[in-house]
Amino acid sequence: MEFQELDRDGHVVLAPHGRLNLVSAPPLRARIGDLIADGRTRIVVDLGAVESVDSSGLGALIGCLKAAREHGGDLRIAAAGEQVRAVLRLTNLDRILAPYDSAEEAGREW
Amino acid sequence: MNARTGQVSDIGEETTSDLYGRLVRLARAVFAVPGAALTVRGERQPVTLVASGVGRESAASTEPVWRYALGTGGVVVIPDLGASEMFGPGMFPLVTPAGVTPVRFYAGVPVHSSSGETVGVLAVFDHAPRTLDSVQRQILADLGAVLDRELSASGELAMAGEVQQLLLPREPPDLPGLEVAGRVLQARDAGGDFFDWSTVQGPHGTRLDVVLGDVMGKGMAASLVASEMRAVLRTHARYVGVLEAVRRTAETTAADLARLGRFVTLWSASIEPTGRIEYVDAGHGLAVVASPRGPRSLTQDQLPLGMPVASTWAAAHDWAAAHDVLEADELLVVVSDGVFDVFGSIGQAYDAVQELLAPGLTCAGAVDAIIAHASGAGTSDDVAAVVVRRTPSDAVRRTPSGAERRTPSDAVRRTPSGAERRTRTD
Repeated sequence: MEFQELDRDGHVVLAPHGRLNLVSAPPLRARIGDLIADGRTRIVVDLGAVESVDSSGLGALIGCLKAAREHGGDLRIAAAGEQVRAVLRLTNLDRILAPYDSAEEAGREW
Repeated sequence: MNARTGQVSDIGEETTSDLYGRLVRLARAVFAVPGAALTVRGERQPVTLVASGVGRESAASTEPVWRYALGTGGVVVIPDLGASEMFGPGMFPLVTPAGVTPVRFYAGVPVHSSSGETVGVLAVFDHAPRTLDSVQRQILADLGAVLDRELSASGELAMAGEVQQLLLPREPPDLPGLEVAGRVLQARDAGGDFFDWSTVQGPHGTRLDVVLGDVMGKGMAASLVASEMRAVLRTHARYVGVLEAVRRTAETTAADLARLGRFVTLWSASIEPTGRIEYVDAGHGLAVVASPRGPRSLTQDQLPLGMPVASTWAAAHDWAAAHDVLEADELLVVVSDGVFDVFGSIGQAYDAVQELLAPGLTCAGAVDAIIAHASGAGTSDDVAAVVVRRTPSDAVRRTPSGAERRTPSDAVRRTPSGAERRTRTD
């Protein structure tokens, strides 16, 4: 999967596109892992150009969220489509992975 | 579990039979012959699993050659059956039905199971005599080797799926006053959806413990986690109430789930014959009571199991149970998100659940209707459903359930899938 990476002041915005699934999630996860290892623990994943997220994709986001928090940072998601929001609501995962409307808004306080 | 996107991962979904079909078609194209077939040992006679071109009738008319090829160690090439010493006139002449052009050229390679047993032959056929050069013989041998690998991998996966199905409850619990049925249809040979039930002696008499769970991800890996979840939960549920059982299961499996990077949604309940329900919803969200007075959902705002709970984690939660009462005219329906996915909205899903109140529909019938609807709508996710209702205790209906029900009920609104594992080669 191709993903854009924008180095903002204080955080990094990653913008994958296409489908976030079993194939495309691991590279994203690896990249976020590298960023966290480098001390870049504030991550925004912009889902605006993502068509679909399957359970593997969701698992990768949760795993990255965990890694970021363990290193004192956080992971936020932005511009998620209605279906991603629906699954987050249903599983109550929106309690810990709150979707922001845009990448700008997600990174505002950082 | 899939993320309710309507779009599921488009990789790794190819079925075993698709792969066999492609290899047979490939063999036919590579050798530029009118027919190719993969024919395996059946219980009584050979079975042509897949065929391309005139492969099926060619395989049928060359069965003695298939038997011969099965017994050889490698590639068999018979340039002209009509002139061959073994199959020509006076030996084992091949009988070709009227209207079928006789096969003259036969080349085959035996294929093997994981245990090394010869199980079938991949063969190509031509109506004219010809031969294969050494490169072509090698290609045929290579195609056979690919099939060998595939057969052994799919055999093991199918076996894992069978074990998984056998781990599901097969018999309804012997508990007067409650009727329950459940079923899982895996998208692949094995998957992450599971359910379980058992009867437990509790402080208010015998109760029914029911759980439906969904492990994130699909296939073999998810099924292994599902087996662990089921075993741990069952172990605890025997001795403590549903709330404590979920709490202990969450704690017991936390390290494993964290290491695997997976999470699991669960809906777990204790139901008494009086209709009293105590339930714990761990991020599952898909339990509804269908009622003549309108549907109500039995959900809570708790997270799935396996959610990382680090010291910085505000969401570290203490589990809580909730309560409800199932009335005699109501139906408790718990499904996995593969079922929910086929509905456009929660409203549509509720409407469909309400239809399950149709008079005369048993729990097993309702489960069948749910599974048939989900698979008929083309979901590529695992689907699971458990349905519970009260029955007059003097007339308990014993409802078989589990894996092998295929008869769609009247409530089926779309074509039932028929097969228990949709992608499995039968």
